[in-house]
Parts: sequence; structure tokens; C-alpha cells
Amino acid sequence: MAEPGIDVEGLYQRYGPMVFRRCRQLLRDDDAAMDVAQDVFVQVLRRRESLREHYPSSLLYRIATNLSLNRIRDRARDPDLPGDALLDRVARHEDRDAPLLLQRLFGRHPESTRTMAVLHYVDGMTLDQVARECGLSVSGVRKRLRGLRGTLKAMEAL
Amino acid sequence: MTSAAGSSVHDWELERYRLGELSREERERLDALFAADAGLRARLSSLDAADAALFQRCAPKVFAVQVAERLRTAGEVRRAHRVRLALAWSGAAAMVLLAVGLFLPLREALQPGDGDRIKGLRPHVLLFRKTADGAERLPPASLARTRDVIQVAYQAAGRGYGVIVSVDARGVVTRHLPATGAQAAPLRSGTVALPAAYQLDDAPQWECFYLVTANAPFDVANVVSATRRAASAASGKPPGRLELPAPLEQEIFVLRKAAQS
Repeated sequence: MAEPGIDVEGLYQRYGPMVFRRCRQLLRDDDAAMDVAQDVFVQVLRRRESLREHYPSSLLYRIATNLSLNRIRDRARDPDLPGDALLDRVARHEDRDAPLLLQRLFGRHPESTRTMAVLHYVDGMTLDQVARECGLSVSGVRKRLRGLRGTLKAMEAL
Repeated sequence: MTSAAGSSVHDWELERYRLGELSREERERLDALFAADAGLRARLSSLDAADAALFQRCAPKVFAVQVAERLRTAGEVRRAHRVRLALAWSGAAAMVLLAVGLFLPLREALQPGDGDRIKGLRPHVLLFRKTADGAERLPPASLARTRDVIQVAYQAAGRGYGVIVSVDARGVVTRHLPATGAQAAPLRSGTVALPAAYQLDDAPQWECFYLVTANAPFDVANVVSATRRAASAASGKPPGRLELPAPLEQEIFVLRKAAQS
């Protein structure tokens, strides 16, 4: 036990495989996935109070999604992006500026919006499920995604 | 047989089913699908094998050590202290971050300068050991002991970006620079000491340090995974050079560990 209530080994045994698979699903690379999975647990330890959530898997899944997206963003010249329609449309610009385009798309929105987009467009969660995952109302999620699509359309019009 | 309804079950639903973190209604819906869909049952059972493969790749004890190291190197000294105590109790601690102030005189002595911007000079990693009255520089292949306090430093020799990692004879990889982030750290000129010193743990035989540099940013994860692969292939011996793509350069510093009495 790391401290009362935080057992890193136990957390890893219970949630590590889910976190690793989630990272790998987005990153498509085992080593990068393991690296990000460790960062997920570091972040969870920093926010240990959040582990009191009824279903910690939601929190871990969300953090794994977010950190994996950060890793994708940080890949300076790697166009190997997640395969959902929204991201693919950006990635299909097929030039070396793809990461820059993603940065321009997502840079104007909160990180949580980016996570919502992936949960909805990549994972196929309904708006209701995304809302539950992220602790927002359905209309709040819809508004965020509408804003994201608006930015994408504006970029495509350029 | 795989049904359309079974195919529509997402991976995250399966994960939560296994964790028992679905609502009753959701669980009952999946139970019904499992009963009717062999393909879905196979997807579920394949996760058991995937779990086992993951734990084979990275055992829980090793994972906990690596997470604790990241906490420490990220400067979470106070929190990491608690984790460290727990790990020491389990006998699995790797290298232990020490208070930042221990090598302050050394760091002041190693002020950045332009002396290493000489064409042809190679980047290298330097190790210093804390002594009663200061610090001594350790030559390569020096003998070190458990609980020696080590300060890592580097000379960039004009290279722009770098990563420093070490691996011990147990195969535990420790990331020294950058402490966090996915990309290699921008390097400074002169002899630059890292912000934290480390106390060597009881890992036997050797500790192998790598400084990997380039003139453009590169992924830390590639260096970490190459180090793991090299250590695994070396079967307990110092791993030697890492398999890294050009134009990455690497410098190795091996520290020998004295047998414990």
C-alpha cells in the first residue's frame, strides 16, 4: 500500500489492463501505451480524492483517453491518428501540418471537449453516456461538440 | 455465432462488465447478449489472456516502482515519500529521489557556460557522488554502493535535445531527464546538473545510464522502450548500446555496484 486507500499495485492489477488497452487503442503502439498508462496512474495518485468516485473505471478511462490524446498531439510529425471520422477528416489533410491543424482545432476548446469528442465519435458512446462520463448535462455535451464541429467547418472553409 | 447486437457492444462496456462497474440494467443487458452470442463471449474471455500478457510484460510490483519514480521525478517529493515507504516495505524500491538541496554547492559550481560548444565534442553524462565534504566525480565503471547519493549531470556538446534514463540489473528503467512529458528535454550548454539527486537502492551488480541526444525533439517513450528491450536481451548483464534510429546519438555510463555485505 502506498498509503491508506491507495494501493498502486492493487489499482494496477484491477484497472491497469483496461487503461493499457485504452491507451493502445488510441496510440496503436504498445510501448507508448505502457508509458502513457504509467502517467495515468501518476495523475490518479495526484488526484487520489477522485478515486472515491463510485466507478473509478470511468475516471481512469477518461484520464487514459485524455493523456493518449496529449501524446498524439505531441507527436510532432506522426499522422497516425485515431480513426474516428472527426479526427480523420483533419488527419486526411495529408501534409506535415496535420499536428498543427489538430492543435488549431482542439487548441480553441477545453481538453474535456476533446475527450468528449473521442468518447462520442470514436467509442460510439451516446450523448447521454458521454454526459454521465464527464459529469455534464446532455445539452452541455451537445453544445461542446457543436462548437468543435463549428471550428472544424471554419478550418475547412479556409 | 456473433449477432449484430453483440457486435455493437463496445470495448469499454466489456471492460466495465468485467470490473463489475456497470449499472444493474446494463449488466443484465450484457448477460443476455453473452448467453446468445458466442463471439461476444470470446471477446470477453480474450481479455483474460490479454491481462495475463500485460502482467507478464510489466509485473504489478515493477509498475508500482515505475509510477513512484515518476511521481518523484515530477517533484512530488512529499507525496512520493509515502509511496517510497510503502515500496521499501515491499522490498521493491528502485532509486530514491533525495532532497533537492543536497548537491546545491555542486550545482552552483556547474554553472552553464559555452565551453562545450566545441565542434567534435561528444555529449556525455557525468555522475557525482556525495561525500562528507562535498562531491566527487565518478569515472566510468566506478564502484558504487547501496545508499550512495548520486547526482546526474550532462554536457550537451551543442546538441539541442536529450533524454537521460538508467536501467539496473533488475531491469527497472528510471527516467531522469525530462522528469515528465513525452518529448526530449531542451538541453542547456555547459555542465548541467539535474534538479534532483538519487540514492542508489539495493539493485545488484550495475546501473547503466544513457544520454540520448539529437538536434530536434524526439519521443522519450522510444528511448525508454529501447532501454527495456536492451536490458531484457542482455539477461542481467549491462545492456550496451540501444537500438535507436538515426540521427539519435547515445552515450553510456556504467556504474558498478559493490556486493552487499
